[in-house]
Amino acid sequence: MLPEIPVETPHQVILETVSQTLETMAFICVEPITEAAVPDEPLCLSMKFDGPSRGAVEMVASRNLGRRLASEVLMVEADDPEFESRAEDALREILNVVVGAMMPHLARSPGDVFNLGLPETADFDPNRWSLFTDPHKACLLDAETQPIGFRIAA
Amino acid sequence: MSYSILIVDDSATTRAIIKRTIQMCGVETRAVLEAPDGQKALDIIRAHKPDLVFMDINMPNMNGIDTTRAIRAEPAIAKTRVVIVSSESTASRQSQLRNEGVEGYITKPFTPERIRDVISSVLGVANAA
Repeated sequence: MLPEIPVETPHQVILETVSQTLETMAFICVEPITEAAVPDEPLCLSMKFDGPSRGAVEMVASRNLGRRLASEVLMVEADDPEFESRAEDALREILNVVVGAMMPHLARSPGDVFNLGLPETADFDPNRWSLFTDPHKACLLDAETQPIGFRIAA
Repeated sequence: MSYSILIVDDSATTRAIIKRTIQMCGVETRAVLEAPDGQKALDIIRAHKPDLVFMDINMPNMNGIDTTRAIRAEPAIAKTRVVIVSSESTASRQSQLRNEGVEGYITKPFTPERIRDVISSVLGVANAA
């Protein structure tokens, strides 16, 4: 059963968490947006949660955002054999932080504990972008020209 | 005095950020060690006896809670100072970890100042800046 919470609450939490994470990590500014073209080389990351409510938080972002973080935060050169895996790791960590920050807002009582899965990564079909970014379900952000979409899925 | 610090997190990104913050905050270190999960962390703790461990919760193979319990159950390393660094921010989770005897709790996303303050208080380093 998906949590019944006002849409504004998780969106605000996502905005604040991603803003703080990217600004701290790489001085990247984040703003909410209402529409955007599908990200270049889109990657879909998901992380399950289980507790008083269960589901998964999904995030779609461009591999290029991860590459920027790998380059600027981890100082990994583009020709390093681990560059692409480090880029994915940086995106996974953004999702991990967002999911952790959302859990208190999904709790029904102060004693609630959630079990979190590990972030999983898959290619994203660009044809699903308009469905994924349905404004009633998704939170869409702009990280200096790189769109990032979030939503809670069953 | 120089310190040995271990960073346990499955995210190379977070390990790099914490490591960079430690290096920036003026604490003299003889080693900043890294482990991607609890099992490897236990091996490093037994071998190197770090002064402080920054420990994630949600990791593959052995999570941070089980790793902290394993540390506390092993007399030779039981007094290792552990600070949790996790995205999990529910009050119940933090309460649970206080009962496991951790020295501190840092919620992701964290600021460099938060890491510095925890190092100062846990290690008693007055000049961390």
